[in-house]
Amino acid sequence: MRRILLTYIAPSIAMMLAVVTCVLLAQWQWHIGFRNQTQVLASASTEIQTFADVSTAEQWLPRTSIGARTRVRGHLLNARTFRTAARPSAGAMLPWVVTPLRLADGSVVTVVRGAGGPAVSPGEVTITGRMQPSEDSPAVGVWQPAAPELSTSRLVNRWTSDVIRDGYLVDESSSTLIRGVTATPRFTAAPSGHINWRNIAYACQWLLFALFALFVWWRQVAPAPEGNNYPHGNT
Amino acid sequence: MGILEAAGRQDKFAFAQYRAVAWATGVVLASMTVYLIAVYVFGVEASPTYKFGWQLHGMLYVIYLAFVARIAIRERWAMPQTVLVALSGTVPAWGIMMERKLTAARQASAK
Repeated sequence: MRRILLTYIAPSIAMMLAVVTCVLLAQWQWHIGFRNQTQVLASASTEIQTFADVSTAEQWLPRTSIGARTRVRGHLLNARTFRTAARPSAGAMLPWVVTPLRLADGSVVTVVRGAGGPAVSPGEVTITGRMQPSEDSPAVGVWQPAAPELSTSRLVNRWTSDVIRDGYLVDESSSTLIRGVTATPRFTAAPSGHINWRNIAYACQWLLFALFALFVWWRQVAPAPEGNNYPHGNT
Repeated sequence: MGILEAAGRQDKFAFAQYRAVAWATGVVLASMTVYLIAVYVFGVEASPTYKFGWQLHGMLYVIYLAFVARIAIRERWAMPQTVLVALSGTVPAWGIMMERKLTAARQASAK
């Protein structure tokens, strides 16, 4: 009985778990790869949308929210302010000043508050601005900096204790902007849709891993062929 | 050429291919791990090479798995050994250590 358990039942359970996990991960990557194809492009509207309609905590920023104008109230975490490398800002190359904004639900929105100047501002603020996609987002196919500092995956690792919302908000509100040059929004509307081949490749890779799990399982449970013609055989 | 001799030569070739790809995967993975630590711990700016390096490891790992599967068939590895050798390609240094161990075992059995 113990032999049957170790030789057949346990490997079969492990194989099923591995295959299901790999297929689900492949499905997820496939979905991300084609996501941009299926969503409607946003308009360059100047209408201010409710923040809850633009961004949802722990969800990807929808394509329809790229470039959307929105207003959000929260507490600027000034101590965590950082400056990016120099970027194009209204004709000059200046570092962008980035501060996380904590919302009432505890999640955090990344806010680009301007370029160049000092990052002094009150804590509790209402910010109006345009949402932009994470710089390593599948949605970004137009221009990517060499080092995507405003990437959600990098910011999650930078501010590990918080739930970071995807994308970032470029501040347009006069009361909280840093004096001087303002950051230039990169998108006023979503860039045109495209298939993200990197994610499609990841999906194929997960399917190959599932096949490998099936192969290992088959090698375990299949009856061994008679004879061994191989000089280095382990049997 | 006898059947046994031909099979032995094919085995040697398959194992040499496994060794080559195990080293390639291991070196890329170790380099990218050092790069990852530099980026996330020491704040070094990541260049486009960073993303490309991880994609290269992903591609090499698929080839590595194919070669592991071939040797597992030829040498009739048990399930735990196949799984361990396959997983070793995802852990820095382990893949190369596993290759050294398998090569040593092969050389010992050939004597």
